[in-house]
Amino acid sequence: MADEEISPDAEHGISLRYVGGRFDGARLPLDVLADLPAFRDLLVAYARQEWLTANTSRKRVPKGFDKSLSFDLTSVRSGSAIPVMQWDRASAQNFLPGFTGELEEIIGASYREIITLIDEASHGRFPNALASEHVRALNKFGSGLRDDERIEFVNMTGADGNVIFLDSRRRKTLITKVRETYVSRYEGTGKLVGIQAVEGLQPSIDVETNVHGVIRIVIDRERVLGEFDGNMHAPVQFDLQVELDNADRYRSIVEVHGVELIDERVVADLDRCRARLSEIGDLLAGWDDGQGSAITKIAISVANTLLRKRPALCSVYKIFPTIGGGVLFEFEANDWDLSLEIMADGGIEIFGFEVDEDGELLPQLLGGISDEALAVLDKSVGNDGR
Amino acid sequence: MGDKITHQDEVLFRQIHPLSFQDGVPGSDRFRPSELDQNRLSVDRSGLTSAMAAHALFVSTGRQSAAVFGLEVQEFESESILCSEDPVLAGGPDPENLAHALADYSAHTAGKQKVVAKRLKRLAVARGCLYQA
Repeated sequence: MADEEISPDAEHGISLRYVGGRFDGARLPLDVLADLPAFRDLLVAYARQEWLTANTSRKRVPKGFDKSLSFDLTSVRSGSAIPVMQWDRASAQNFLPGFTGELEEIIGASYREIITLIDEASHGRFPNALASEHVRALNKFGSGLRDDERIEFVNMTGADGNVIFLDSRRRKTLITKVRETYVSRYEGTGKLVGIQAVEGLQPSIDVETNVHGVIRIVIDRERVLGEFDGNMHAPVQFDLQVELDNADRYRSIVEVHGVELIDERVVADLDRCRARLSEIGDLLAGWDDGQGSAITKIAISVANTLLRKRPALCSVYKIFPTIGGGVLFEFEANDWDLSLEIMADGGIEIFGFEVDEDGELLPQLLGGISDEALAVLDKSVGNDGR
Repeated sequence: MGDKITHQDEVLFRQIHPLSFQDGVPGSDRFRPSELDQNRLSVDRSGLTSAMAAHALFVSTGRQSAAVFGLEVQEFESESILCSEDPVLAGGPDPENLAHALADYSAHTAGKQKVVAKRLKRLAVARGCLYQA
């Protein structure tokens, strides 16, 4: 590792680079913000351990120790999105007067431990065990990452010279090596197979999924009765954070981001589009008479995200591979002939023209399937795209 | 570039790769030059060949085409795209193709070319598929 860069210095703080289409342009989705306190908790867990190791005569850290390790989010730099956190030195002086120098060393050492943990894990080397507070924090940090996203530790390179990063695969490997389960994002569609709305019992719906069988999703009783009751076997779209075991078996739901009924026809169209994307994703370099890059995994992932976010549009999509390794969606909506091109790096462009009129939309380069991109799409298709 | 094609209603054929042809509709990217094409789109002149013959010659070189669509010279010109003769003569790496021509998109930025290509594709689709393999 680059030792000269390893400590989070007072001036520049700790920088995490979030890489992925939805982070382009220094965007940090709100559901990812929970990573920052989780990272701070992880740092504190290590710091407590460091302090106790250095002070073997003490059984507990001094009063005010945790509060002296508070961090502020001071900026979000671009490229993709780099939140910068700085240790609140003044606060530390209030809670533990005279300890700031020692605390700074402890923070540096703790940060090194976290980086080393992740770097070692990426090479298949794991600690025998981690304390429960470490595991709890680790299980929250990065839990909102999607398959095509990662968190890079800015300026931190491993023994192989590559920047050290955490992605969903590494998280899973690391967490399940030190405990039995991990938390992951799970978006998809299923079939409504049961409802529970009896007074006194927890209201929920049962959804049969392709991957994890029947899962019970707790929602408001009013929603169970108002939206789902009477729609048995209807298709359901869901966006969840779930706990999985180290063999990827479903254990429980951690958080429900969204769940709603969708039309049967939409599911059929969604399946058709997914099959087309799967076909496109299998193309090898040179597919276009010797030209044509292989379609990148991130382009396919962003394309699948688009399908999930706006499934109602699946009925009108024509989907093509592009020579540059991306995916081109073409469709007509709201009297516009539109294209949404996903680049090989996961960025997207929307462009098109007004049928029988003079209006045209020149390509607008947007980040991944961000709120801004969806807003442009929704405005273009005119019916909120849903 | 060779001489400008002056027959405004002459249809120029465009080959469509099978992966850019879904449910009978081509992708609009097939109606604009790729980065390697240097702003010039390859087409074949209906005044000198047929859609079927153009397709046969194209696939005889090992390249793939699922369908042939076409645009008139005046349709290209309405988008400020000039079309010129570009015959391929015998003796080179490619078979002789006297009907070969080029549509020059250099009046437009890369971004604008994408929108223009969409309009042209729409016209080509309205004309109908001229040959399907």
